[in-house]
Amino acid sequence: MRTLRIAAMGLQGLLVNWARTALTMLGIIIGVGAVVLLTSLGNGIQESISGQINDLGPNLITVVPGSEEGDGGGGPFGAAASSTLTPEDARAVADLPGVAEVSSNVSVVAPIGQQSVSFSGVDPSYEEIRQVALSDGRFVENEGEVVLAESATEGLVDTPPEEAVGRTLEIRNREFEVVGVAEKADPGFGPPVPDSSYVSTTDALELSGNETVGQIVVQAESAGDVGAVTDRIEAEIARAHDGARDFSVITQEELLSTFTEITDQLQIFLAGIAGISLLVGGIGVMNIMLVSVAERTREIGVRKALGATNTDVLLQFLLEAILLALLGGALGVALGVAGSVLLPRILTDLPPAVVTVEEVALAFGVSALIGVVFGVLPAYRSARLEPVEALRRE
Amino acid sequence: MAVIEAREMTKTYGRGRASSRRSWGQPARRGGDWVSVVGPSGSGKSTLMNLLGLLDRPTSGSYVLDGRDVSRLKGGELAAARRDLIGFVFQSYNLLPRQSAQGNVELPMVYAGVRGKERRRRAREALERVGLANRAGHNPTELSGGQKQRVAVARALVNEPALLLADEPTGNLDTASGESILDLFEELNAGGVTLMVVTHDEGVARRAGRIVEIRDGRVFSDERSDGAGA
Repeated sequence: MRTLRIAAMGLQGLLVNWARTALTMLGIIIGVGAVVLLTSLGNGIQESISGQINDLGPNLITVVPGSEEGDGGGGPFGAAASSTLTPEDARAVADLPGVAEVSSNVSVVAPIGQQSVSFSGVDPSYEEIRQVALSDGRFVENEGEVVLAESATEGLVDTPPEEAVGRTLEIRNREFEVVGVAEKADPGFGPPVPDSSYVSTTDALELSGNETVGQIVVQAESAGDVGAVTDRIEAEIARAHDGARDFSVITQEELLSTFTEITDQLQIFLAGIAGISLLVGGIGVMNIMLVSVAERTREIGVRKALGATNTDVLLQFLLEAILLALLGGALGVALGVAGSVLLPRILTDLPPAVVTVEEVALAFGVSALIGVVFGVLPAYRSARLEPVEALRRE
Repeated sequence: MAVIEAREMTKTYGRGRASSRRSWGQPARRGGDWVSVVGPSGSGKSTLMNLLGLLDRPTSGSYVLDGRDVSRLKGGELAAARRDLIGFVFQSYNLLPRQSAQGNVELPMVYAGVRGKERRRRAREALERVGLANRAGHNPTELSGGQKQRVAVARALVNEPALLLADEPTGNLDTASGESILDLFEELNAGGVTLMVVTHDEGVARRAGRIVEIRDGRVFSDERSDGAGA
């Protein structure tokens, strides 16, 4: 009963000194809120990236120019300029066991009127392999056909996207028929989709004057086959290139791990920022607690003169600090979670945030600890003073 | 029975020294004495009060308060002794600023573990005794100096201490308010409260039945006052 009443004085202390209470709590709220928000956004970005890579299909295999050791032209996003891959390589790969579909992919920039327009030169199977979404018409099946990006129809054939099919387009004195309109592509990650207008591989090679393609995309018959099919593709193309390892074969798994590495670094970076905000919040709490206890040393002296034991004084300050930390922490979590939900809705480029219990608990725990330690430590020091010392303080 | 028996009690600060090295042949008696402690500033009267009030620890000597040896008490026992045996009235009131008069008076009883209903009743009675029943809900900021000091007196009395210690209780008050506090002390004294008032004001000192003079950290004289009780 006595203990309860003394503990209640802690609560009372918070209420009557509401301005100080609010200020202290603000530090905790900002610290916890920032940690929750930043880590949740980071999680969201990571999940979104892995999701997009998985969406490409687990049995996608990409052959790109350049050796994996990196000779300048390599890497998953290697340019076609120094490519040694040819449409013949693609045809050879298509005959390998376990391969479902194969398509070359070659980028070409062609002048149309005053504009430079980039096209992807691909085989008909590309539509299936990369899940190209058409809003109208069909995909490129023959030479002399073109699929335009929705955004390009107005500029190239002077019609809205829904009326573009059937129009003709002149590229370098050749007539192309518009056979389809591609939806605005979300290239996601993985092998780049330079533009979402398409022509056939043959036309693209003719327009660019090249004989090599930028990449070859392969769909394995099943995800379980990917390893074996990759080995066969490597052997086949190496043989066609007279043993030269001037290309790399990349599977989704490898891509995924590359991106996981990137997002892991992003996550660490965000956690760093979150840690700093927690630290700043903690220092804010610490400061205000130290100042407030210094201010209240006289009050501690009065209480001791009236018969409070050191334990009584500590109990009161401990309860104050715990209440502050819990309440501030809870508000911080609420703010962080609300921000995680709202922010991706306002900034639509952000993927939805993913709030995890562990990170919320960590943020909450650390701030609560800081609040309690710095609420109680200075109070403990003041409580140990002789009352006459404490009463002398102004 | 003697309330205060302090023998060879000393307090040493750093290199300097303030002490009360004399044993008191005629200690204050429970139930009636009013002792004034006088002396110039720096003479050690506040030190004496802090030692007798258990707010500070003596460097040496023994101190028996209300029949209990309190010179060796520590921690919780010391707090309990302050709570049960002593009531303080300070020059600057030392009320908790954000608590009502009622709340301030209840505080010593909270630490004594008095239950809510009885605590409230006793606090009201104590405020009534000092003539502030109608100010119970006011915060110290809403009270005059004299009223604040009355609240402090009510708070000092509420646990029925063996000794009421007042350090310059009229020091911050105008003459009329000071007089009314001294009248209140007289009333309380007549009702059996033992009082020790530290002051450098002769007029205040002479209201007591006994005046102890401190000089250079020692008890210099100890005599009956002619103005006893009058």
